[in-house]
Amino acid sequence: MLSAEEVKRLSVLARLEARSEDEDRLVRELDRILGFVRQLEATSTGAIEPLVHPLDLVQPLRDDEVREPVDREVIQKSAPDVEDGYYRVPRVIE
Amino acid sequence: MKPRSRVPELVAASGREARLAVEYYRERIRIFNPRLNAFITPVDRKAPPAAADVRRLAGLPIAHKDLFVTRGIPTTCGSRMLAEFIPPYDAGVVERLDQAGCTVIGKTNMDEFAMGSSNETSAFGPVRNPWDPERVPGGSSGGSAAAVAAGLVPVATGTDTGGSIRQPAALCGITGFKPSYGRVSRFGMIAFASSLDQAGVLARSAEDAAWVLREMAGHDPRDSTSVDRPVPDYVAALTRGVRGLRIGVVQNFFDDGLWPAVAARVREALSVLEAAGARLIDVTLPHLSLSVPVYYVLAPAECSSNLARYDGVRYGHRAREPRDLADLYCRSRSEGFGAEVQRRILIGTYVLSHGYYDAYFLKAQRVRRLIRDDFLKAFESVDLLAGPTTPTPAFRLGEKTADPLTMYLNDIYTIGVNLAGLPAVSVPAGLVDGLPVGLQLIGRDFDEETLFATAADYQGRTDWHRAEPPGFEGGTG
Repeated sequence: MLSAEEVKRLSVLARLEARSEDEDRLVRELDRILGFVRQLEATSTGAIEPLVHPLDLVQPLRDDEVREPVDREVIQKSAPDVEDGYYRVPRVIE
Repeated sequence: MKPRSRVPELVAASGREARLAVEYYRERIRIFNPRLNAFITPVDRKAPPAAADVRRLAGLPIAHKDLFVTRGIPTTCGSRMLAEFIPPYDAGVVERLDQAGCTVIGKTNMDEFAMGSSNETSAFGPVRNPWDPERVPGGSSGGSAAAVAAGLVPVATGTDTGGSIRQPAALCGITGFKPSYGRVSRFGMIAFASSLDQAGVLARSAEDAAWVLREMAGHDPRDSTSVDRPVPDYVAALTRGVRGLRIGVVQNFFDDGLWPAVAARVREALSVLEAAGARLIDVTLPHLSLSVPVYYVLAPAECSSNLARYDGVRYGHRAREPRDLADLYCRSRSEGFGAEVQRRILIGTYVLSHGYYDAYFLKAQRVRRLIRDDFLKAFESVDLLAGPTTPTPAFRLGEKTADPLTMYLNDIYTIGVNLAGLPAVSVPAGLVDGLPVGLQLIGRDFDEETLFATAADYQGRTDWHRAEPPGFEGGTG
């Protein structure tokens, strides 16, 4: 059984805000989903190689060639807060 | 004016006739979209003109699921997180279809970050099924499916991670084609579960889908999972017919969860194919019943990783007046993501965390191989597989939102295909209580041609793909 404490810990890891008002419901839902996927335990998989990906691909390397740089100004148009080409965030070091 | 609606006819039109066709569909969007909520953003973007317009899809109106990024056009992914996001570039799929001459007329509604099977997780409100506005269109490509079914656009793009093209296509009575993993570029396709996501087409017929997929498919060096092999002529494959093909009827699709009336429609469809010269062979995929639990380990794991990029700093929603950086991250994400997305991120975080990784994540990957091996084994004795697309016709809005697991089980017949990376198509196979249901055809790796041949042969002998939802007549010309 998943505990409320554990869900809090997961929220921290996932950088989500744990909201106390719907905590019970969330714990119950997550517990049911995990209970459901736990049926995999019953299948014997011994030495079977995990399938990470449907294709037997090798990560290709591209040629190291000179290209047009990505335009910083264009990219930063999507950012919520920018100053002098930098992303602004709350002060990290006091 | 009522234009011709088959893709080959639409692209044969030129000049004034072609412009009128685009105008016709825009007008239908204006009239009907308020009832359906199929579009998030109507768009007016013509492909750049070519010198002599011999492009194969010249003037074809198309809609893109709102998770393909479009330069200068808002791309929300159905999420509050990206409600204000205007991408600086085009997705590979958008680029290719632009180059083929398509005119983009809208971005379609979808489940948030493609996580859902009913379109009810969209931050922009649910899409309604044109066959019954009290019912869901399916998901996650529900906007694309409803728009094509209601004749608001002749074709639309979609993506399929666990059934998100085939399931809404089945529930809306249209043709939904999910190509092999690696067949179509995922560049600029907002990622959900990268080992499963694949782009495809929602259309009225296999013929229309073939015309569009022929342009969409192909290698893109910007997507390392895109496969570098030639794209066959899918349009030429349409006339091959099913004579002599061995169709494996997946016995474990016809389980207790399948509505008998849906099973009956699917069996009728199979006998049409048999009468056309295909041979039906019973096939069993022993591990298939484990595909839903495998999926709900792997997809959330990959999603928790992919969605880590939404941090409220570089783009997307940002919380107001954060106390510190951690607060900025946490509140931006909790305000920006809806409940289902957060549930999946938490499940993914759990199965990837220390102490659970082997038991859940590695275990699921091992069972994934068993599922893929079942398919490969079956393809030693058959040319394609067949069964229902969904266990039931469209359900009511709100019917399954209370319990995530009930919603997940709706994709029981589609998810295995994504785990194995195979191509599959859903074609309309008749009505149950006035609601459409789908026949699903599954092919070998990169054998889209056999699926087009089979679907087209079936549609040449039946009229289900021409059925129009009551109240939306006229959209199919």
